[in-house]
Amino acid sequence: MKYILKKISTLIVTLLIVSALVFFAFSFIPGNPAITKLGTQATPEAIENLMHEMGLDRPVVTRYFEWIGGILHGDFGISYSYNQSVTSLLKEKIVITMLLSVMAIILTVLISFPLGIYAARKSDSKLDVIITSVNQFIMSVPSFFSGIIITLIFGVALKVFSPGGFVSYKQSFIRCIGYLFFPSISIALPKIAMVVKLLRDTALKEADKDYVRTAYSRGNRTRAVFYKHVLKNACIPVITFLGMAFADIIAGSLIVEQVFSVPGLGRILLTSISGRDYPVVEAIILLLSVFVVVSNLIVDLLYKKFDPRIHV
Amino acid sequence: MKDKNKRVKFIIGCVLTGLVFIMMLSGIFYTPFDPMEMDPSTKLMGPTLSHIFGCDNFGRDIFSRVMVGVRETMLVAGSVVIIGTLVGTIVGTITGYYGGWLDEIIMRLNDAVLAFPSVLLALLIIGLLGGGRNPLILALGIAFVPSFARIVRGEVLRIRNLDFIQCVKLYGASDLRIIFVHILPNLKTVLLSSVLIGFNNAVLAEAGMSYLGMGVQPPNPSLGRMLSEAQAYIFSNPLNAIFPGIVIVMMILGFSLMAGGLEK
Amino acid sequence: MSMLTVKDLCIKVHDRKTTDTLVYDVDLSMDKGDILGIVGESGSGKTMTALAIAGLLSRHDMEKSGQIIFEGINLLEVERKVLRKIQGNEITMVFQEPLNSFNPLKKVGWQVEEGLRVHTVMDKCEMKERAIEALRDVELSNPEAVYNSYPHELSGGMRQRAMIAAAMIIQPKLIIADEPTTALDVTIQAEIVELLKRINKERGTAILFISHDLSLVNTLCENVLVMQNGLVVESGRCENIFNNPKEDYTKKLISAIPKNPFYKG
Repeated sequence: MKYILKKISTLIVTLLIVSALVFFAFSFIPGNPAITKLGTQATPEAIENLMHEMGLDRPVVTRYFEWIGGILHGDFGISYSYNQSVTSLLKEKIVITMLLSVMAIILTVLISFPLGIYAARKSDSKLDVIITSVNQFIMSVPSFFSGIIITLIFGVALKVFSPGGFVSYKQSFIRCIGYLFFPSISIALPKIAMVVKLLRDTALKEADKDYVRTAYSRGNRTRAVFYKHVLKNACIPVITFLGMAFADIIAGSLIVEQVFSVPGLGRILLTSISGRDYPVVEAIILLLSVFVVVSNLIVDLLYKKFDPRIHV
Repeated sequence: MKDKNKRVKFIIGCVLTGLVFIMMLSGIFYTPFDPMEMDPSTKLMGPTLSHIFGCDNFGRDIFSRVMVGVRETMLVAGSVVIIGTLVGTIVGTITGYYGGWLDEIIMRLNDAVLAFPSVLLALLIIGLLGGGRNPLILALGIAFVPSFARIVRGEVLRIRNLDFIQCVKLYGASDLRIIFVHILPNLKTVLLSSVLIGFNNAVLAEAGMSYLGMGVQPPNPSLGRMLSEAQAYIFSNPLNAIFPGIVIVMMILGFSLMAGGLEK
Repeated sequence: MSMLTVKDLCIKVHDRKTTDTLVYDVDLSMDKGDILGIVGESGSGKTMTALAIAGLLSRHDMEKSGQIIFEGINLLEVERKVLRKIQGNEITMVFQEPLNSFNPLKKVGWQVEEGLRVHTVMDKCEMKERAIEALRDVELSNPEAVYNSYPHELSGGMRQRAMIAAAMIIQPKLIIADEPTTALDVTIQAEIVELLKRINKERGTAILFISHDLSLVNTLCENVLVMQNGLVVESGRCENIFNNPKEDYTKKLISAIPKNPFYKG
């Protein structure tokens, strides 16, 4: 219990540091958002007025704490470019990006585990060689390129979906998921390949260990040895990897969203960065950090549950 | 039988990497067409004898642009790996060797940066500095340092605790001497594999970032950007997007196959 | 008919180009309740012989020839299904490194029960009872606690006792112990050997004891095989070999035993 508390407090500290870094970093860049908004022809008074309105004339540190205070109430400020509350701007997009990432993780686990187990059990068979080679190949394809290929094959050629035809979950959840399936596969593909390789390699390494020999000496058949002993041990590095992969998947979704025109956090993040819309950028960065840190925490806890050797 | 497999992989890797290298090297001196030259008459043309990869929506020869783009990617990826290795080794060696509160603080910072997706980090930094090749190198370099630092630190810790270091210390060797003469040379193997993997990841990262428009700015060609530009025309000429992508895959696949062959 | 007869056992390893013979023409025989020791340095082939008898040498690059006849069945020629019925049931094994030989992720009790789980149909409670009984039999003072612990939570001696409990739980005819004491402290070594002696006396379980430690072998075994470089150099009753070694190698081994007043041998 104490361990969990300690981890959560580290989590909060990390988030505070990240938020502070992001906030202060943006305050130091040259370029005044008020000027950007009004244009270079604006009068000094107009600029001052706007700055006062936006709260930009107050000291950075004060603004930071006001921002944090606002967040605790669910208020992320007002977008410079869109003039609406950041919360309302991002609400839907967060859900979409999260849907995409979660689908990608689920697909990864669902596809890679059976493949990895199969490759481990039938190692050195022809199929195993094929799986390993295909793996290597897939790991070399960037997710946005596989996204383009998938669009070409399934969107243009086979017309299974229409590229750019995103359906919001508000209209139809099923069709939304159906559309998101293809971008999730693009994101998941390299991760699937990595997990298959990791699972297979680890399982084979474990199979050489002494306790496996003991299991055979007790008269277990090969299948029993694999599932009762080898697999659980082999899963440990895989879980660690999946935890790290989640952060990558979130990042990957930002890019793949562009390929499939999915209105998630990716597009607005990019436009906000180039448009110097700091409240939006800060909010998105903070949110994504929260997801990354929380998922790391979950992985850590799961890890503890799986491996009794780790001391609290 | 296993070794033959490995050798085949290695050869394929060399061939692929070799092809890409030749493309890049010859691109420095000669390209079939001027990569920037727009020719309205060849808009979105498919592959022909003179335009091997076809032309993009501005009529520019894709093959020539790819040659320059590959150079761009290699430059960025190479620089990123160099920065990551150098800074990472320095940080990792100092924290690994001296330990103490310095180690604690730096490692906390390191882990925080590491946990953060590198794409996001790079996006942020580029957002602060603006797009272009140098900001991209800086951004990705910073994003890559933590993983190198962590690996180096782990190795330094391991070596530092080996018996022969204790022996050398007993003889009165200074810290600097120990670091430079005994520890650093032993980092070779670990660094080599990290550099190879890092290079692949750097190529992927550069492609991704330039796809998002954060890399070198148009009209300079970069492979990722060419992909994003070609996307809009995917219905008219899908090959526009495929060729730069294939070259990216060749680079990464070739390199990892070569690296795999060298390993065992 | 003796329980176990090994005749002309040869074990060869095939590399890509060369073939190495690890064990040449080994002969041995054991009756019910015998205690046989195999003694030799590392690389003498003793472990290989033991593994072959236990049916654990199934790597594709190992060629085994000869006969290993256990209760009338030739273990080298029989199909895997039949072999598996014997493994962990009538022939069980105790390994050298109890930490690595246990699955680090499963509780010790679960692993002690494993023989029962594979070969019998018992419900969970029964198996647990038998396991705790077995753990008590191997002189562990708090068997329930040991049942619920993980391997890394026990000391080396306790682990090895648990390993023996696992081997004993199914009342095997033969326990093959491959250097069971090598990884343990000297005092614990003696205790384990005493434990094995007691098991043999009380249950009539035959023990094949592999070791490089002659004094331990002398304490425990009635008969002994001396191996060097894959060959059986000398064999016979322990007292005869120790007091009257015929071969030079045996003489060297005996003279290398440290003279320690605490050793019984």
